[in-house]
Amino acid sequence: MPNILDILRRLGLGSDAELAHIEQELDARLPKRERVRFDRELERIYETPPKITLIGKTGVGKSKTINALFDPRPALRVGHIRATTKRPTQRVVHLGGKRGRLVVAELPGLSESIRADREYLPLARHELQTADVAIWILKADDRALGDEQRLMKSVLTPKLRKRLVVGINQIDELQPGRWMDEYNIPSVEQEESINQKVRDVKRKLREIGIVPTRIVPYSAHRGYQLAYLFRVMLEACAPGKVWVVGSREAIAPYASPRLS
Amino acid sequence: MGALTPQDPERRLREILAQDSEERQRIKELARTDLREAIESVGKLVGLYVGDVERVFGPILFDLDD
Repeated sequence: MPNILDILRRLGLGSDAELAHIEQELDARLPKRERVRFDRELERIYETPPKITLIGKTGVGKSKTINALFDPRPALRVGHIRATTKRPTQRVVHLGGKRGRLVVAELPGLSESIRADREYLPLARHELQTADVAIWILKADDRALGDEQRLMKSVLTPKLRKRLVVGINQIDELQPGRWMDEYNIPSVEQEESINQKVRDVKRKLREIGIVPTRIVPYSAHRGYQLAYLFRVMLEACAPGKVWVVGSREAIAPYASPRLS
Repeated sequence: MGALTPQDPERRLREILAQDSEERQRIKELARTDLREAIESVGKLVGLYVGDVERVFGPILFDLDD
């Protein structure tokens, strides 16, 4: 079980000397019983796994996004041909080492059929209401957003919109242009398409009365702009859970672009 | 995002790396502020008040220059 010093370490706060000083100060100021209670109470909050809910049409990369952001062991299964998630799942995902656990609520891909949506939409509303962070994932090269507009209008209450991040995944597949593999960055043409895409998504959300404040273009596959996505997720996170989600940060080294 | 020409991917990459590092710093900052509030709240339960929390955790959790 982590104590306050482990938690500070995990968040990259404080040197060894500073942490040793904190320990001494806590021991000096608190009777042993209260000192234990202090650690236990923080551990309880830390050990309550934050809940990340992912929503989006089938094939947008929901599982892959969680894999890229949190590096769970084992990785979530990713489907390439048929939708992988057939019913709402709420999984406790174990992260590597002592990084803790995470509850990932993954909704089945929406818009597979009218019948399925009738079943899934009430579940989506429920799942989103209990989420610490909700990510609505769009696929960058999907130009038709009519389905998303209908779904968002149906699912997102004003309260939910405050907890929402809209992620535009797979920006590496945008055309025209080609991903610059040697640098792991988009080409000039793709940069322009990304900016256009963000503007387009904003406009289409406004059409349904949603003023989007958090739209993040990224690529889970390339590990591109994951730190940006993670930061925006923390901003959307419920107070009191920001540090808990933050302590699960595990953006793998490959996520960063490289300088050759 | 700055204008990019096909000749300067290295410049763009440097910008992206700088943004990435800035984002990581902001992640840490957001987590730090929220953790401070959690510690203050848990501290109250055990008789460690805001002034004590500030003295114990100092610059790790507080911007003492403010």
